[in-house]
Amino acid sequence: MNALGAVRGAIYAAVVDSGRTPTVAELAAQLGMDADLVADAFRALAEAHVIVLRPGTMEIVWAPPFSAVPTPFRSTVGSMSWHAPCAWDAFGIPAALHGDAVIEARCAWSDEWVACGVRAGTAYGDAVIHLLVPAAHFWDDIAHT
Amino acid sequence: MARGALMTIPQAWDLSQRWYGNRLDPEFRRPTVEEARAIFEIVGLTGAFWSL
Repeated sequence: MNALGAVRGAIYAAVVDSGRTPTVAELAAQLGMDADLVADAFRALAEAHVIVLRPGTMEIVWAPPFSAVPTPFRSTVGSMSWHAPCAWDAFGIPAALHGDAVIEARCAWSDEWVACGVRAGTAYGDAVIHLLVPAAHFWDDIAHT
Repeated sequence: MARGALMTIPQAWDLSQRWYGNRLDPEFRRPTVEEARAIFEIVGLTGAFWSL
């Protein structure tokens, strides 16, 4: 596995294990890599739309489908819960973890909490997901999307 | 509500499994544009909104 793959793997391992994303310094120490190389990997992963950095920083806010910052979308798989950047990603969490999930999502229109999830491999829930930004423009401003 | 597209929950789950099912694999790579187009079509996400 190359350095980029190692950094990506370590980022996702950390967020799955703890719900938080690691810093450049933490990964450099963990992987025995130069911090500048880790930072380069963070930038390359962000450029490739694999992770999302807080603008102007090296802080990973999203490692989709996981969010390191609170959002109105929360997925519980087994005994652990994670925030997701959006409703699609809320289902992405059980997909990535290959498990069932209880999902809590707040409707942006009514502000009500919607109960949905995955049970015995089948999705359930009485709601629809509305997307405003067309797919070709998702990454123009991913936070807005 | 502003215009956009609607996705059903079963579609979101189907899409998520195809999109994120291998996200934690060591050999993961993001779908290409062609692969993304194929995924959207298989899931039933069609029309101008989903064009890439």
